[in-house]
Amino acid sequence: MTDIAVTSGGGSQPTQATAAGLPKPRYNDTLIKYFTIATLFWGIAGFLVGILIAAQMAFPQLNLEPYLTFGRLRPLHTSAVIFAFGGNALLGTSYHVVQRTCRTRLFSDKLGWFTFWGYQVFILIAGLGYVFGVTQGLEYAEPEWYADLWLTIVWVAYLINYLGTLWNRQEKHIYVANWFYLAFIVTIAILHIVNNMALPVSLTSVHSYSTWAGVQSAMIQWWYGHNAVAFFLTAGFLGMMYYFVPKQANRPIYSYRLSIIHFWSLIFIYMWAGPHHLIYTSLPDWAQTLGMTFSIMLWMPSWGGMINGMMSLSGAWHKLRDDPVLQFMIIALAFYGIATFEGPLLSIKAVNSLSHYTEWTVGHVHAGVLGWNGFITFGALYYLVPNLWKKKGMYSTKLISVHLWVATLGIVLYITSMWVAGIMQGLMWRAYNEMGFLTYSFVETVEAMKPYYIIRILGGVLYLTGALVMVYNVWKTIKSPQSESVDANAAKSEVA
Amino acid sequence: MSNGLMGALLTLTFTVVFVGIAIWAYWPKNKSKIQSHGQIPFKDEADDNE
Repeated sequence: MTDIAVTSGGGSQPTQATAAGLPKPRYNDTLIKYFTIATLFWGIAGFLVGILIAAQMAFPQLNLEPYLTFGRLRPLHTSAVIFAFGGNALLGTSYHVVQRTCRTRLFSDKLGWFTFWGYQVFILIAGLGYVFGVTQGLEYAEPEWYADLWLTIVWVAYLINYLGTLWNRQEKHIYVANWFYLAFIVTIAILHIVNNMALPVSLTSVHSYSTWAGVQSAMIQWWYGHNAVAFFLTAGFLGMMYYFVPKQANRPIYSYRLSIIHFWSLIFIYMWAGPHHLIYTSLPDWAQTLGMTFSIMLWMPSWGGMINGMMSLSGAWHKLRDDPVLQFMIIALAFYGIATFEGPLLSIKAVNSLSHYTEWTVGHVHAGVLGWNGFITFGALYYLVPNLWKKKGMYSTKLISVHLWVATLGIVLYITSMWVAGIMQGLMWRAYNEMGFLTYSFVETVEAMKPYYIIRILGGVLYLTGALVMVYNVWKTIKSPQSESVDANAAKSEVA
Repeated sequence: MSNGLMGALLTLTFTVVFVGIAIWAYWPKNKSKIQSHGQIPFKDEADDNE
């Protein structure tokens, strides 16, 4: 940490001075460094809590009442990995990408620092709330009204800073990565405000009543929830993909025309997929069918985007063999493909009747977040760290490979165990005998899960191990004096 | 205007706009111009070497 302070000159003041003193195409990299470190920090924290709650599923005695029970730690885990790890990655990379592709400095350094610290404060107050039992009880929208209001202010500052930077651009065309980032910023603002409409019990109360009630509240919640997947975990990270894959491969995106279709088809279709979270509930049947139909339609644009990213290597596949950073990005795209194929499949009513409420859903989500969001972030950070700290490469390319394969093995263990567990669970729940009685009691279905829960813990531990290797590698890279890394040279000459 | 009619008109508008975007993006004359935007991420590299 001290090292960062030294590199950056200790905070926002010197940066401001630099901004005033230098001509335009100098970028605010210090802010991106902070976001990079915050991403890694929250990533480790979020993965750790994930392992703890996975262990609680297998060994219930690990629930320590009242603060450290599964019910309180589960939102801590999801918020830490999605909003803290993923969010810092998105804010940081978006600030980097918008500066570079517009070839202009960030619109306002002050707003930049406000969004950084303001966002960390949001994470802290939201997370502390969960542990103390303060929650709205809305999945992925657990923070209470005061945290929501604070995030709204931070988010508007972020939007203004982003738009201002786009406005100042030196490049006529706005590069496609920025469209995805902007769609992420704008849509998350709308979703956040609408789903969190609430009235505090009193001004001094941490609790509130939601504006929405009944089946409408369920519909709005999943309109929010699924579009958080669509615009936070998909559009935002696709912005990352459209910049960092070309940069790392040193080749332009396969088809810019396809990227336009990719963008607009996601925008037009994704908004309507939410009801697939409410199949066979009291939501009107037509709305369920609508959600299912739009989910199936999403398969095409998703795969179009995946192909666009992967085919950027067309004619230069040897780069993939030698460069573990590129391997991270391409495996991320493969998991994006897997998750966006599985998603439409699970939204089909007949499949959903088996899969809903089972571990299959959990496995599906983690194929997406561990494989797609996690790996594209790791890839982007491995590109960014040497770039930001002005080093010639990462400290060790071999350790990047170690991270890659340990984490990949972790994901494979995680998703395969949850597939088996989920399908078994679904089949056990619906099994009945010739008299019409259920074959299994509920507790028998819980018992059957135990081995798979243990395999899942192992998967999570491997994923965390990989991330810790990355932290070490990043640390050594930053610490090294103008590093030419141990083996990066060798790897680079092989590429050439 | 009824909700049903408004919904239908909105759906129609969205569809026409999307089809319009798709035709514009894949119109042969526009190809070289649109594809050239793919080079934008590489234009900042001169600045890096300051």
